[in-house]
Amino acid sequence: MKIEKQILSSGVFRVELKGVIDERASFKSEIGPISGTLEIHSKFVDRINSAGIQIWRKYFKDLRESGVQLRFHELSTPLVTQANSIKDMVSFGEVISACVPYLCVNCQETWPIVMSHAELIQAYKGTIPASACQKCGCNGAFDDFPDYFSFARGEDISK
Amino acid sequence: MNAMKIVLVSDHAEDIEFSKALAKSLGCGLEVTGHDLDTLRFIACHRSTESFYILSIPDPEHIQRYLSVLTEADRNRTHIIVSRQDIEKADPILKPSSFGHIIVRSQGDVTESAAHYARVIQASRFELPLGLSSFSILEKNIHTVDIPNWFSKETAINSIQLVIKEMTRNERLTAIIINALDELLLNALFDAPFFEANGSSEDISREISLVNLKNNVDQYVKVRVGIDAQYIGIMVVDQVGSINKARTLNRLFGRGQKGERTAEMWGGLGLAMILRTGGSLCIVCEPGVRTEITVFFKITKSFAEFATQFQFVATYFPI
Repeated sequence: MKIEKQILSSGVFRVELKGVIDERASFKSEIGPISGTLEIHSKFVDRINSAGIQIWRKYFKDLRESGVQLRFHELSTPLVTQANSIKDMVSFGEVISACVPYLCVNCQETWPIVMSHAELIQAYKGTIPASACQKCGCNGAFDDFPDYFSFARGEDISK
Repeated sequence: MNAMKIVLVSDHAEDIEFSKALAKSLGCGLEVTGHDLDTLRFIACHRSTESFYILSIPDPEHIQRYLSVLTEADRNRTHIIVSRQDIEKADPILKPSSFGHIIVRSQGDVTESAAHYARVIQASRFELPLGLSSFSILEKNIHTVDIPNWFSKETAINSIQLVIKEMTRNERLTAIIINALDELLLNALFDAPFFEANGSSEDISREISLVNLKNNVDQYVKVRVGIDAQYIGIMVVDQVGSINKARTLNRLFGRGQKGERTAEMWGGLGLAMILRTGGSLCIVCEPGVRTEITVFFKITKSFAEFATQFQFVATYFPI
């Protein structure tokens, strides 16, 4: 996993996570001390294994309990999948946006589009926007199930 | 027609259709009965080492009725058929580990699912089905990687990722399948549960890498990847043989309701993640000798099709 860290002019900490989150993830040492607000961008997280889930959950839970405000941006599809099954993946913070998977019905190209929290809620209610294939221009279809958007409600995801 | 026979106990039309297709694939007979008072007598009359039972159990009370009539050897030839909702609810039906095989009722192509599952039934006729070839996958289609130590895990994953990417041509499906391999390797390389320490994230990582490593340079973990028509099978073999049937099945199915699970409940539960993402599992353990866990995935065009594919869990432990 690669972590790129910066401090925004507003004083907010911003980290971008890339690659695979597994048993080698060490958020604490790589990100360093954090106070105030932390933005976590994860569009390029390819996958997370069960050991990575444990480390993710513990790190962000500890940060939240220390008073840090967490904002999750561009949650990647593998993270959304886990957030829909495990309630304490992103519930420590605020989901600002997340990736939504699309599939071209013509050429099978896949791509994510990033939806804001408001758009995710609309999608949960059944309004899923269209997206054209960047490769052949044909219509792309949302390639998952309606409960993909459950995590965005921040409520009981078993419903 | 061979001596093998399938005994189906179900009133469900889809189960009957599946079992007919399975019997046809296996070239064997099929007896069908519903859940009535004569069922137990019916099973007793059809008891044979060549009989396989497929039971659709409508409620936990039925479990006790069947347990009372089926011997342990019978139970190892019994395949419980359940709905996808039962899996998600972690229904109490699934908690008893007395039965070794679980089939998830599929809404897909019944004939195709039955043909795939026929390989599992055939493999189960061995005392312990060992190797991907037990599942009728040709040796020439099997790619092999041996992992001498922990530091080779990433190298092995990267090597196999190329094979899988070529087959799926879909990054999301590739990531799911590779994650399944990663989970099998974690299970093979380390003793579970991984997370018993109360330290920081870094402490947890250190504990994994230094304390729980159970293989050494003399005990290779072997990975076999078999590709057959639309299916991919990944088998990971360790030379420890330390898994327990009851604990494994309880971890797969006894984890609480969806939405109530926490990451802490997930510790060491990589197999459950595989099941949630469309994979099927065959678990073979010779205590103290070796463990073989194989995950099967059907390669599909879309994730939606992938996630709802025909699934099963089969276990083989010596009696």
